[in-house]
Amino acid sequence: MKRFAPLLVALLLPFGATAATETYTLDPTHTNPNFSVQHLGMSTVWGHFERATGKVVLDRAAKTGSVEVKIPTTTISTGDAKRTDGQRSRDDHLRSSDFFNVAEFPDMTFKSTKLHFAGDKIQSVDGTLTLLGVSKPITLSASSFNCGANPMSKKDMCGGDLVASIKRSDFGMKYAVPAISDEVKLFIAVEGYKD
Amino acid sequence: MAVSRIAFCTSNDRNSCVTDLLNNPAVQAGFLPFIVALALGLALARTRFLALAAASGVIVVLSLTIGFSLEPFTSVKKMVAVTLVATAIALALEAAGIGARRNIVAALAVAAGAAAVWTLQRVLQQMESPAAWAVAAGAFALALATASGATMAGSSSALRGAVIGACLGWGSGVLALLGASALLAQLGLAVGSASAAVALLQMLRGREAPLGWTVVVPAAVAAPIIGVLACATGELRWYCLIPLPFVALAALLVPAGAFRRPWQTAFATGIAALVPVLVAVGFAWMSSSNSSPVG
Repeated sequence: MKRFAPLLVALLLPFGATAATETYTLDPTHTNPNFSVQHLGMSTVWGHFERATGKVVLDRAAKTGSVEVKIPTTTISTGDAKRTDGQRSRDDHLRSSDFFNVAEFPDMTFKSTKLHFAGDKIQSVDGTLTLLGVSKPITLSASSFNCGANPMSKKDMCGGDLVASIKRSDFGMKYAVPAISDEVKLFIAVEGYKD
Repeated sequence: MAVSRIAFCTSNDRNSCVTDLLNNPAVQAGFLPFIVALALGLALARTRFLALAAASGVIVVLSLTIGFSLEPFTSVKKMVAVTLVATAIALALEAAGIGARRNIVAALAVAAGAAAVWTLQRVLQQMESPAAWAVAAGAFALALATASGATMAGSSSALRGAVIGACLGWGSGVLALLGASALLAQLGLAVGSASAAVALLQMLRGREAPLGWTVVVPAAVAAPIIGVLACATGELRWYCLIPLPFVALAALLVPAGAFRRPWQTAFATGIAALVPVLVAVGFAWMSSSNSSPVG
């Protein structure tokens, strides 16, 4: 029996590791990618995207995991969707080839490469943001990240607020820089339920 | 000096004034392409390479807005690449002494149609198959008709070619502006302004350039693609583009020798060629009752 013990341990180890890995599917109604950008150096324009999807995979014991978010850029909204005076709205312009070019690039994605933990909580996420077909490394800081049971449904869930700052020109979105600032701040609220 | 400061900027810092000026969309798309094309046209007036002056507007806009990086290779950058390649082919044809033979014009037009579809490739990939085929066929037909008509009409007169180029460029620029795409608008307006500079040069010299049948090629290739992109990536309605191929036909209503002086010919040709442009702009205006995109 002793002869087989190491083999038994080796066989069971992967199951142990799998048991510690938890997958959370993002809830599109509580996953809100927001952004802000300076307009003419005077005020800040805020906008958001809707119906973002993705997954968070966590192994809190091993302090590993991954985050994936897919954001449909067609859903961009800055509070100027339609004008009553007949002018093209700001959202129309943001969807055009001057900015998000949604006809060619309907999605923006983030895929993590490494999660950094403070204790058992995510502190920051290194990964790759793909926008307009251009992929660049960015780091999202988690200003908060918690896991627990939903008080109402009792389902296991995780959620947090991820923040980053990017230069849109790095992704080829150069139109109207610097009148509309090159720096764009991203605030991505994610919330997902355990599969 | 004080007057110019009041007109262009309020800052006392001269560098800031120049930067403000260079960031002004009207300067980027209208004034500078016109001046650069005028200077290039003067230098090239006795050569077969006036098409280079007409195409220079695109380069001016690129250098002042999004730069020359190919990444990401979007439809707008493909459009710019197609325009520059078409200009290079036109210059090569001129250098080889090849005239506007029917088979050459037909080949150029088919290539322009194929290039329009290639430019739209990524947009078409996002569409359902029947819609994608319809858009591709429409883009091909529009580019083919506009490029062949404009090249044929401009082949017998460099002045007429430049005027057609100005009307096509300005027309596509205004259509793109109404379709909520400012960069496409700037590119179209710049091609128009550069072509207008080439026309003005001939008017000021008092005689048409005897060489340069390809002067219309940059605008003939760029304008329909700008229009198609304003539909596919902006908010322009497809039927607003129908009048574009008629710009060349309208220009042909004024015979090359109808007037004694070039400026009279250019003026009459311009008025005739602007009619289809105004119809297209009217369609676009009515379809959305819009004006310009906002930042």
